[in-house]
Amino acid sequence: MKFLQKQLEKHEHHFKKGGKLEKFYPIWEAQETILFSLPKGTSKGPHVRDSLDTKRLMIMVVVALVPALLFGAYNTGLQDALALGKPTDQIVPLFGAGMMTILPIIIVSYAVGGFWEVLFAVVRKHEINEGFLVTGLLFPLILPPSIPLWQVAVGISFGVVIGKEVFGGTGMNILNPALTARAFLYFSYPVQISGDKVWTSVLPTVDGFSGATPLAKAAQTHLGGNAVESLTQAGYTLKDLVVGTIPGSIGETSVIAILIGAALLLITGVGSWRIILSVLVGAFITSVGLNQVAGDSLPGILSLPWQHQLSMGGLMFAAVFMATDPVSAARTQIGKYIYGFLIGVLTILIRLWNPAYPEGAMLAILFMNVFAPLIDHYVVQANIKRRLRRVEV
Amino acid sequence: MATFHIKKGYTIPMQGEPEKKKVVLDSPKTLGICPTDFKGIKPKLTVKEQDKVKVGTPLFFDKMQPEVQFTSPAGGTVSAINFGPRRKVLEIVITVDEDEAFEDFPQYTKETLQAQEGATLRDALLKAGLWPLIRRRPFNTIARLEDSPKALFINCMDTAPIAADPDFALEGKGELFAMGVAAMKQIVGDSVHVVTGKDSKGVFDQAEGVHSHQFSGKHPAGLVGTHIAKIDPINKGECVWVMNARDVVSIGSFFQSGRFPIHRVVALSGTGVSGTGYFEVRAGTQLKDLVGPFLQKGPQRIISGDVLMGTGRKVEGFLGTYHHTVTVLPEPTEKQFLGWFMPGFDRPSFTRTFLSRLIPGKTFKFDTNLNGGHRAMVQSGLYEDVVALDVMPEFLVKAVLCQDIELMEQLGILECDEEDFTLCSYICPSKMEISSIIAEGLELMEKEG
Repeated sequence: MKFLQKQLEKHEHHFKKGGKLEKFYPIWEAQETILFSLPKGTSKGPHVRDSLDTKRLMIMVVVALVPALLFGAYNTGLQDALALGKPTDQIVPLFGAGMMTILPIIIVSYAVGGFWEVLFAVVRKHEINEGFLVTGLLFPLILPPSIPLWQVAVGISFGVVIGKEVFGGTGMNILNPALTARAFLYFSYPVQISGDKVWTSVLPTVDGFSGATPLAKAAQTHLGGNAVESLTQAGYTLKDLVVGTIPGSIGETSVIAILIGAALLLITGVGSWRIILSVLVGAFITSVGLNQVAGDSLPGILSLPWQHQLSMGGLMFAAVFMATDPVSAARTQIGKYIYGFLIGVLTILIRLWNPAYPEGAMLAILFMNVFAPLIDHYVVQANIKRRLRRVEV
Repeated sequence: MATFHIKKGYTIPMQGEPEKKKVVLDSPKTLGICPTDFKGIKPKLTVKEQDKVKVGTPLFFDKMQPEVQFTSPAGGTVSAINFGPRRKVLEIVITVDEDEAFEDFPQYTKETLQAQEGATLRDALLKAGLWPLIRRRPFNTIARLEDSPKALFINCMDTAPIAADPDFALEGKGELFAMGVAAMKQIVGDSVHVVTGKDSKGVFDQAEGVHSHQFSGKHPAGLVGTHIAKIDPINKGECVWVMNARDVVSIGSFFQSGRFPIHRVVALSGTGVSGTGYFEVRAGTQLKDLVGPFLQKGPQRIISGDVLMGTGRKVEGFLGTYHHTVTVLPEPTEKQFLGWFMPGFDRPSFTRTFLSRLIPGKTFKFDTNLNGGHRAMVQSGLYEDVVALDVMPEFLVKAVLCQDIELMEQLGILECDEEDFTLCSYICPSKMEISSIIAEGLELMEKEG
């Protein structure tokens, strides 16, 4: 390591003030702080500081995403093999084939998004924000594996620039950048991101392979029908939904893989348990409530039990990784409960009333992102009122 | 006696706790005073270089409140007055005579003291330069003459990491403490709160006719801001006075002896020195006389005060008037390869993001590393865990950043002081200078309000 350090130090002067590459100091700073924790002292009191910085904070989220990513690679390979009628008993080749499909998506996302991030850092003369490490990986994981790479590039550009940088960068944004990118693609290029044909990266050759997601199947249940029956007819059991061997966005299918990530976020305290819990409670209460009113003249999806609702579509992934984005979520403790709960409720309601695209988590979170400051405002007002009351007594 | 337990907070697991032994240092040749120790004053010098001064002779006064004098901690010659940019007075240096002369002030016993008018005692404190030991909240500036404080809070505990333990430092000074309290009671009336730690050994029990309270818990349980908030919070338009136990002892000693108190006990702590302990030194001691013999090799930061609220000074600098700890910590020198990715058994953290959390009670050798770079605020809900006041730290900080004075006041900035938020700066992953931001907000409030 000493050798690497010496080599780096030899080139440092180019990036310092007066050097020929002075403008690109943020790039130098980024690579240097990524490789080495710098001996940079405090400038004022308190004279000592905690070891946790945003780099480690963000990297925790990236690590938490790894199980979902790895399972996503396997599942992509599996779905393609099913569509082509190939054998599906060997895990490693399926994983390898899936990886070959999703790796380019991740690389494009990181490269294009990273370009914007660096550009803004250089123009604004501030350090490169590691928040992008998370956005750049979250975004591919909520895309279908068949997404054209140019759309990945356009989407992440929109997400980073309009979703984040125009507000001033990480920490200043109102909306979750990854979801902003996803919503942009959804409204601009619905053909490539919704429907039954996008969940495999190959054209199906097997007769009768539908490729529809369980959520789409459930939404197609006829009026007054039983949604679980339509799922069973399509060949999806609850176990498939939980394990994740179903068509869907790359990282969203496996509840187990997502929960492993959730465990890491909760153990380290990086993700807010208040938000994750209240999203799930909101979704649970809403689905149980809808089960009660389900009947002959109402859409069949109302009859879907809560355990199916929680384990399909993007809900679990959104609850763990998207709703918990601290910047765009509510920031007060009470606010987090309200924010999360309403995300859960809205997700289920949108699933019901948006049959064209029966996934509600993305829109529910973006919607609540907008409302988060309002929720916080009222929580803060309550604190102010309490203080005023003290004077009156 | 009321007892309070503070549940929030954090004790930074630092090594370098001062050893419980007392050493008396020889009287040094050079002493000094820094007008910059006193927040919010505009100093006007009354001496020039080469003037002869006695112990207790005025050196400068505050242009805003000319009655408030600042006096010499030594008898001798003013050997230097050091100015900073825009002729700001930084230090007044005095070369000590072999045979020091003292200004004489009236002497009292406890009984004669209690027969005095408050105004007489107040004027004596002003004249002797001891008035600045009384500070006021809000704003934590020197008490104003026109104040009518609703209470005086005397803080007899310290929960800051590796700071001096007042119980040990002031051992045997119980009588002087009681004397000081008696004097202050004449000045402020009966509403005097004495707050001790749970493990206090009775040094402060001799004070009569006061409201006693005991606090326990992690830092900030020992901050006067926490005590005020729990016992008698400041509402709009009100103010309280606050003092440190050590300064009450100084006032007691002043009234008993009729002389400006020149001795004090400070703790030397931290891992940047080879030996720690409690030292009886002169007020205004040059730091090198205290830390010089113990300084470790390599760059060290010498802090007059504790690690949270002290100020970094050069070794030629002087001990701050309000400080009773001197902390020395190594400056960071080593680069750490992939520091953010390692499991971190050796990295202390308030959060659970490092594996060092698995070893409870472990202490660490801290240096002054910022451990990261400045970023915008990202993580939420962390600051609440280390602030013991009924305020919403994050929103208060944001109100300060956008200079919204009305909102700042509504969110309770007047109940706060910089020191109540030092742990927020400590734990912030975005390395925001939260306590400095609060200080800026208070400064703005004082100027505009």
